[in-house]
Amino acid sequence: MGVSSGWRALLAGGVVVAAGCTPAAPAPVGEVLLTVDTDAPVPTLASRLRVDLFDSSGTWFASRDFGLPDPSDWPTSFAVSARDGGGPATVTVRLRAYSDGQVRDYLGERFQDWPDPTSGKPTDVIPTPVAPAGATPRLYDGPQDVTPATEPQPLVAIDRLLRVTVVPGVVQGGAVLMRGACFATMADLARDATCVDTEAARAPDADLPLSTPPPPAPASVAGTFGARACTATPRAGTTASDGTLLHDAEVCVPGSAFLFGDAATPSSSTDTLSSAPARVAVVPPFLVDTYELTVARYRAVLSAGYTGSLEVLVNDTAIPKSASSAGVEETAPFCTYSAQPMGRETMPLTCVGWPTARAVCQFLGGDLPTEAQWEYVSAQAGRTSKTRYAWGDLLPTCGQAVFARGVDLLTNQVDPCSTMLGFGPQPVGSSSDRSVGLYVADLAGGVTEWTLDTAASLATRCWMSAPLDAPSCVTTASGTSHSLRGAAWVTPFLAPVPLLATTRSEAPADGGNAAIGFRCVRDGGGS
Amino acid sequence: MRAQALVVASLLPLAVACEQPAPAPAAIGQLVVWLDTDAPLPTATPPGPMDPAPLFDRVRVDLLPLDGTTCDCTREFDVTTDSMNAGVSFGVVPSSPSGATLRVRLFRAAVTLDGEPAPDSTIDYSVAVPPIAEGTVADATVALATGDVGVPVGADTPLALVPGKPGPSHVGTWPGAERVDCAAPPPDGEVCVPGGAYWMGDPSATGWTSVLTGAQRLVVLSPFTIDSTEVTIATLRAAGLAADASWSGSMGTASLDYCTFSTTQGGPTDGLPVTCIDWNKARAYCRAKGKDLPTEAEFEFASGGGHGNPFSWGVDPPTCTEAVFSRWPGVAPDCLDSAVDTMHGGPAPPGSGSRDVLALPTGKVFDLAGNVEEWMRDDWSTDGGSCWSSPGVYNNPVCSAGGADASARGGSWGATGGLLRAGLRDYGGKTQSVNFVGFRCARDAQ
Repeated sequence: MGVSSGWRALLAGGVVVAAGCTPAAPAPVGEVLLTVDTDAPVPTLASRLRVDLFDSSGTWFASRDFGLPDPSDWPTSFAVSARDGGGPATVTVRLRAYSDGQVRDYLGERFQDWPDPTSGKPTDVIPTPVAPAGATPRLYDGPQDVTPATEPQPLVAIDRLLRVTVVPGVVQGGAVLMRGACFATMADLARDATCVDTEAARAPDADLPLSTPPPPAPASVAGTFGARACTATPRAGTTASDGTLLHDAEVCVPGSAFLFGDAATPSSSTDTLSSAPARVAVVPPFLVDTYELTVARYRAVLSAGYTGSLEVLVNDTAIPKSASSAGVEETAPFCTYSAQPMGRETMPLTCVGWPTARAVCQFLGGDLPTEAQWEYVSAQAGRTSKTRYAWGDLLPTCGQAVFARGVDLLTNQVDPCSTMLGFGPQPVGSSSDRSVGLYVADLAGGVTEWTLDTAASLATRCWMSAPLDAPSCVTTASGTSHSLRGAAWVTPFLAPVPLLATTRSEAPADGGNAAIGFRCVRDGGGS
Repeated sequence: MRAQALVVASLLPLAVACEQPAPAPAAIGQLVVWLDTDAPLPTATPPGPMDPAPLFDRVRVDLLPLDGTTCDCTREFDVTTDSMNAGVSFGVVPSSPSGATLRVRLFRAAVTLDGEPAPDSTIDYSVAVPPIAEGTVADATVALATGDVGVPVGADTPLALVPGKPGPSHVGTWPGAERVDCAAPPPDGEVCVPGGAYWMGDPSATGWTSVLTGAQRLVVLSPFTIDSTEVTIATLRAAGLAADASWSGSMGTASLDYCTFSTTQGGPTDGLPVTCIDWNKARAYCRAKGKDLPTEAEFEFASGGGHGNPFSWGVDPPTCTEAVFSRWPGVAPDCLDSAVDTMHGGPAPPGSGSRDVLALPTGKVFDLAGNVEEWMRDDWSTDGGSCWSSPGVYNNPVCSAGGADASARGGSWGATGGLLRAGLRDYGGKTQSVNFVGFRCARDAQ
């Protein structure tokens, strides 16, 4: 921001006035000036600060919720006063940093710890704790119940307890850093325990060191949590010996923490996994294929000595230019791979099972992307706010992404985009479907993509116990289905939900079809 | 030349919510811009059932130099009733000699489009800021009127700057937001929904289907009454009417299995909501009673608890015991045959969902989120269609565009939990009767 040094000094030394906004009135009851900073990214994971105050008997006596959407809003400061005059008073301060809209109904304190990953089954859904009778504790202003209707979602909040002692007539100050490592480690109000700086660990809440006069506000460290640059070099695109483009270029995705999942993305049919609850994921730096893996690239992998799983359906007939009923993706004539090139070399490889997809990525020195990696590239990387689609928030048109190129499930009519732009699967990169900033192609459309993760609700033990860093849910049970991301050329125009960056779907490991393909990722270094 | 600058005092004391204007250093010229608005903003204590819902919560300020230079002068900050009453201001340092345009937008933090405030739900003013002489500090006021929502003001020719500080804040004085009670107590079986203003449309629904864009519009409603429950088989039969199809005698998987009408009085479906009835018959029933079907705007207002929430009870999606939903074999089976589904799917007696209850001063409204979807008075028009495309404030909107389709609202026993959100829309042919769609009636109560 174009702020001269004089202004910056002014902001840093900002004055807080306690009584009726009249300057220079001393605070007879005493106050503690708390300066609060966070290392979480602002505003994507921290744009609000909820402050709740409890007196020494544990009675809740004040609650405020501040919007702090700009990185320069941090560190922020506010004054804490005791409930009444008299002698020194101990106040327990609960601070919660979270982002806009990430709230749940307040039904009383519902403490929930990280689930034990080793007890029970990975696929067990972890229930939300039962609300206490009377929805306690509650906040009163005299006789009036003024309890806030909502509270920050614990999974996406940094929740910190601390104690301060307010001394009458004295203005003290102290500084608190809300660490991203504490996301999802809920403060334990009943046992006075709080996460300070270590994921999933709590310490007894302690007196915050205070000084008089208050210490100067430190420079903010907002955005440093999880932020890491790539050190590996992305591969440049190459061509096969016959000159066919292999579409194997990669881009570097710098490491970052982001809001993974979305409570509002619909699960409107039985094969679509819920995207709720949202959680925090730290994605280490990685390299991602710009394009879905093509037929030509698979051919190159085969000639390079790949000997793994070969679960790819061979289609030596031409792909039909039309069809009269929905479900064409389940029929062999729409698969892209052929024993000899048939003009489909730059189309995504389809009709491939998950084991083969993964083995091919491993042969290429990487793996399938995790859902967190996939969603990060699609919805967040290169943006200051999460977008609905890889290209932004606007609804797709026919040219925006390769979709609606099949037969509509409800009307049994050929979808409109195919009339204009061609029926069936298309070459990679043939639409405007590019992610913001990194220009990764065909995340929304093209073919639906295999991910590394097992198909499981984000509310299962597997996900709920996955660490903040590189979360993933991979179970080894036989007959496992895997999560898919993105939409495909068969996705109907009138039902474009799968194009959303947060929509999840699934298929059995051997359930590849002509609408399912994949891309690969590699480690980006930087660890 | 000095850089353009924009400074927002961001320190908010907890004890007294007020925002302090940054005192100006003497050396550079500064304009202190004070904000005022008549819109209701968030309050420190949660709004009660008869309080207006806050309509905006965030300000975005952009300073655009007129000399063609760029200036990283964009700031966002939250505004509340308390901060507005105490005085919200920010400092602007316009570089000489050209001056700048100051764009001030009051919007909703939760509703953005590609990182910008969504135009439909934003008050957008552009104001001309002259150069400020060295060493001087001037005050000016930008008063954002709720009635200007959705239509940028001063975008072509910036408004002239209004010098001076504002008087007492007008926050919360916009008459449209006032909760107006019904003129008379509601008749038996009906509940008064006090009038007021809210944001119609669910931005999180963007992309669900191509007919739903999730656009938002500011709606002002007069008070109305709404039936406490969905119309049941017993009440329909008492009126001498029948549905289009009768119960098959079992709850199974055939489409007729969930048609609840039965000619046999006292049967097991008597207490269930009517299904398999077309829009024409449903509307005729309501009109014969001196009522009508609710409008989409009325139904969504009630479904959001009058506060624009996703559900009448708040923000959490329901569990199987909290609303009647996800009880359709093969389609949405998560709550099928659960402890609260004793009939193997289909609708349930009114009030079966423990949280699907809107408590208002004159009574309770049941099953706004689940049980059966409900026919609305409105002809169907897509978001952006003829009825729902103009920007600005909508007063008691109802779509009378004609056409073969009518809209329907609310989730049903056949829908998943996410589809129970208040702002979602559906539609069907007026002569269609479907096993998950029923109705209730409403009446004007001004």
